[in-house]
Amino acid sequence: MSATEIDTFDPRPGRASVALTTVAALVAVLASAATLPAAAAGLVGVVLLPIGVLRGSRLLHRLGSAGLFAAVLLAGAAGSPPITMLVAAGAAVVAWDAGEHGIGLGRQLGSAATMWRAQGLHTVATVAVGAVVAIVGYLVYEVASSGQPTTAVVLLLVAAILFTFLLDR
Amino acid sequence: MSFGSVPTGTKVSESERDEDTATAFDIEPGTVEDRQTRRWYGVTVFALLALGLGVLTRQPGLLLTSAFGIAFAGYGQLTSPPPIELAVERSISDTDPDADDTVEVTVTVCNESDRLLPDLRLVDGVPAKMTVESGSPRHATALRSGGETTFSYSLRTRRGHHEFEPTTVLTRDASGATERLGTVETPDTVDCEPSLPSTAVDFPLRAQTTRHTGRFPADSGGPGVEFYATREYRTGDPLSRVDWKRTARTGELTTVQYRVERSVSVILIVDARAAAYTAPDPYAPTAVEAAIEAARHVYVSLTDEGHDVGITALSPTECWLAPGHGADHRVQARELLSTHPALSPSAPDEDTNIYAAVQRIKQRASSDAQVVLFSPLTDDLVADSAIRLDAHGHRATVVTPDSSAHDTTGHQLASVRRSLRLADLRKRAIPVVDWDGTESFERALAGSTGGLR
Repeated sequence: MSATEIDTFDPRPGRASVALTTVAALVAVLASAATLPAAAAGLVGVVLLPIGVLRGSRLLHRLGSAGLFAAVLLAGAAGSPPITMLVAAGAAVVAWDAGEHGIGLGRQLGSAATMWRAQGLHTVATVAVGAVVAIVGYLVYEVASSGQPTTAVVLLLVAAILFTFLLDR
Repeated sequence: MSFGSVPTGTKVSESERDEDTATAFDIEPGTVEDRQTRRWYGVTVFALLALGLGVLTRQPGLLLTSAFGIAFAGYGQLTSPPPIELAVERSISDTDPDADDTVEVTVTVCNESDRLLPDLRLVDGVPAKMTVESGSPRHATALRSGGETTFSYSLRTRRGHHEFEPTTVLTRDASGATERLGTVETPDTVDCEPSLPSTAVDFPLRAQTTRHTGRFPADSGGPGVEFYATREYRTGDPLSRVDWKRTARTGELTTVQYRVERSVSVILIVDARAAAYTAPDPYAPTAVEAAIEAARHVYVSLTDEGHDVGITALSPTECWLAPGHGADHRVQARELLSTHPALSPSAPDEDTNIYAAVQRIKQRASSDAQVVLFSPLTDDLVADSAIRLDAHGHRATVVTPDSSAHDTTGHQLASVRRSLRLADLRKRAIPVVDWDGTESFERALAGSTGGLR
């Protein structure tokens, strides 16, 4: 690390990370604001999370993410429909993920470096995985609740096998 | 060298910085390290919380959310770190620049593996003593197999031979759960050899003496330009030097003598011991740089006047350029003052045996050679060496770049001690040029020539 770089090294994430986090956090809050406590927790999240990412502060980012996840849990406990729950949880995960990734990039490379491609691809991958998981999960839920227990049991077994496989790795 | 640790001076608290040690860019060249980032653990915790809460409240939405979270935890487990098979190519706008120049470095990175690199982070190995002027030597991107990425930055050059260090590479999988840290070596060098100053300064040498006390050959008559004296004609004197007018007037043959101009052998001694690498702040040029700059001026001035000038260093590494002048010698001097390892831009690790170094100078230099010592005078040893050389007939002049800082009591004390050394040298009739670096060397010389002659 050279002299002037130390003087000017700015460990804050790029704009792309902040923008992606903010959008995802907003979606999460809108989807989870079913009750007053959930909305309040979500509000804390949606305020702290972008500020944390903007300043490169892991603490604020973590508090904000906790707010978003708490909002999702509170909304779920209050009986939010499964489809909104999936959207809220997915958006909360994407917001947390984009923020965490952005902060890591900022700390390693500094705001002067170009990093929007890495950030963009990472978030696209997370969104894609989230969408696939949500769709599969929702289909299983529909099948299970529409009174076809055999299919549900098979799927449950497949899930259990996958889970064991993952734990074994 | 650590790339990833957050530099001091930024607004990051200590506890937060510690967390980054797991993702620090700190690796030996040629090795590869695989790491788990454990970044999905938080989501697993969320999933388990949702599961518990879902069971308690019997809400299907929560159970579904739990499954969702666990799926993400699995996503983090499924992937493996992408390989580091990269070709790094640096294109440097000028590998032989002048000092204080700007060099544009363009780095092209090609993914030679057959896998997509979803998250590739690069830190180019900027030479330790160079400074990044604009742009960033750090870059993050996604790179498909066979794909290329380019980034560029500019460096401010400093004197010396600079080698690029290996590029540090960090690849992460798409989920970011695993990462691989490695290096890619691309040896490139930049040789910054500042040209010698074109204009000579008026550097005053001491009046020349030989070992025979009381005789000043420079103050004697003979062939020359300036009128010195006349004397009685002796057989063998050239006819052109006979003062014919006087002969016509008086009838006696008289020979005109001119002031002899002798070229003097001068050894420039640059203090390049670790102690001399001082600077008012950690990123300012060191006193050695200023000393070399001054030596460059003095070399040009003295060789222009026809003196034989040699160069040596007080350094753990041997460094000696025998006194001489002329175009060849000038090239050698320029090269030595730019890239000789003894005058490296960074301080040597070993200690310098200053007594042995001075002894060597005494052995090598002709007995009546003058010495010019370039030193920040940070300790008594070097001041003593000047005194000892002077006492041995090598009439000494000291040029001392002032690198002292005044911010703390300790620094102020060091500065006062340096002034005392200066005063001591001057008391012993050794001329001292004190150069504080803010003015030109020429002005510093002009300011102290009163005391020099």
